[in-house]
Amino acid sequence: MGAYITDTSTADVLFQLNNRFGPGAPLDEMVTIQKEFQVFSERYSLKQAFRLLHIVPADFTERRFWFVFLEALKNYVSDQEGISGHDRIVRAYQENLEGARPLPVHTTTHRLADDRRVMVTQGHPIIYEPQEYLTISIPTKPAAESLPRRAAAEARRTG
Amino acid sequence: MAAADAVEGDLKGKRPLSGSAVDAPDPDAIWHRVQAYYEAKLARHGANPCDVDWSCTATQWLRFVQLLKLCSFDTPLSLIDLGCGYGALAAFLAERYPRASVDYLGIDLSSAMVRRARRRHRGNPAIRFRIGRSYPQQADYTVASGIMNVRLGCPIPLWESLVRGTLADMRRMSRQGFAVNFLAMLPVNTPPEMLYCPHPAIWSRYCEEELGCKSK
Repeated sequence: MGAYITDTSTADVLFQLNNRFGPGAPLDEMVTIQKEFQVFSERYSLKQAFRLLHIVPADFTERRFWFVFLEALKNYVSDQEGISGHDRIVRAYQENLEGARPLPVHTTTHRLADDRRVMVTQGHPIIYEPQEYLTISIPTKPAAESLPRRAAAEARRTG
Repeated sequence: MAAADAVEGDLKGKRPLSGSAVDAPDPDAIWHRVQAYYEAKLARHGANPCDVDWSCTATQWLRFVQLLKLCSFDTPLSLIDLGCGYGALAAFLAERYPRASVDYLGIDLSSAMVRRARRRHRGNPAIRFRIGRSYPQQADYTVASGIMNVRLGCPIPLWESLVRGTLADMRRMSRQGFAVNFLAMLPVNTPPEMLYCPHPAIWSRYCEEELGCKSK
């Protein structure tokens, strides 16, 4: 995410994602939303789904970059052969929320340099909680390495 | 049906009602305060779910789905949407029940909201909006989403008298039935005096015993 949105916005959207898909009432609500509207399905892109769920950076300028990032996930690889990072995430949410035993979803990041793939696993990412989670990990380049490039691209765009 | 986590951060810095609205139990002062609250939010967020205290479009729609379970869309019907805001329910109806014949009337305290709603649904004669709290005529159904939640420091006995009056009006003006929702639990970090979170059973019992309704 660092290449697209600032560290502050990354922390902001991760906080929102982990709250909205957290255990208990938030997860129950997401299960109901999925049942009613199929927010995570082939009908909607991640950009559309997160817009519908209002999971966006508080900063309006950053929102545009967040949506660009979500679209860019279509070009990311995933831990499933032939499935893009974007589709892997959509399917992970869909299968989990529509499954017999939906798990809360923990979204995190890992260094792009270590692994270029979007990873989806199951386990206990929060060490002080016995709760099992579905974990979605997104390859990320630190913003400090990427933002100068973004600024240059933005400068080129605006002339 | 309960509208949990419907209210977000804006209430945190809000002061409770003071002066005349608390000392004298004047419903008009309270409604005026509620109107000002939503108009300030409209100015800040624009016409979207956050403006009317929903966390997102999907949670707002979820409440509409629940409230509209009351209605049978097989035959033409008339519907009053009390506290209609910027007309989100009218848009949802068109999206969710495109073939249904609904004579829709949205009523809201806020003239700014109604202006937005009229602009949004301009050109559709089956969708009308009205400013205020009064009903011009009976309808088959009346629904109200989230209007009982934000009390802005109004003392609970007074707020409950307003809820009683609102429910009685909805009952009187609905030929087939009416549906409302309440906040199930207080959102984190929200001052309790700003919101009203009753046990819904209290109001189900009121509707059954006092208004002669069958509640679901």
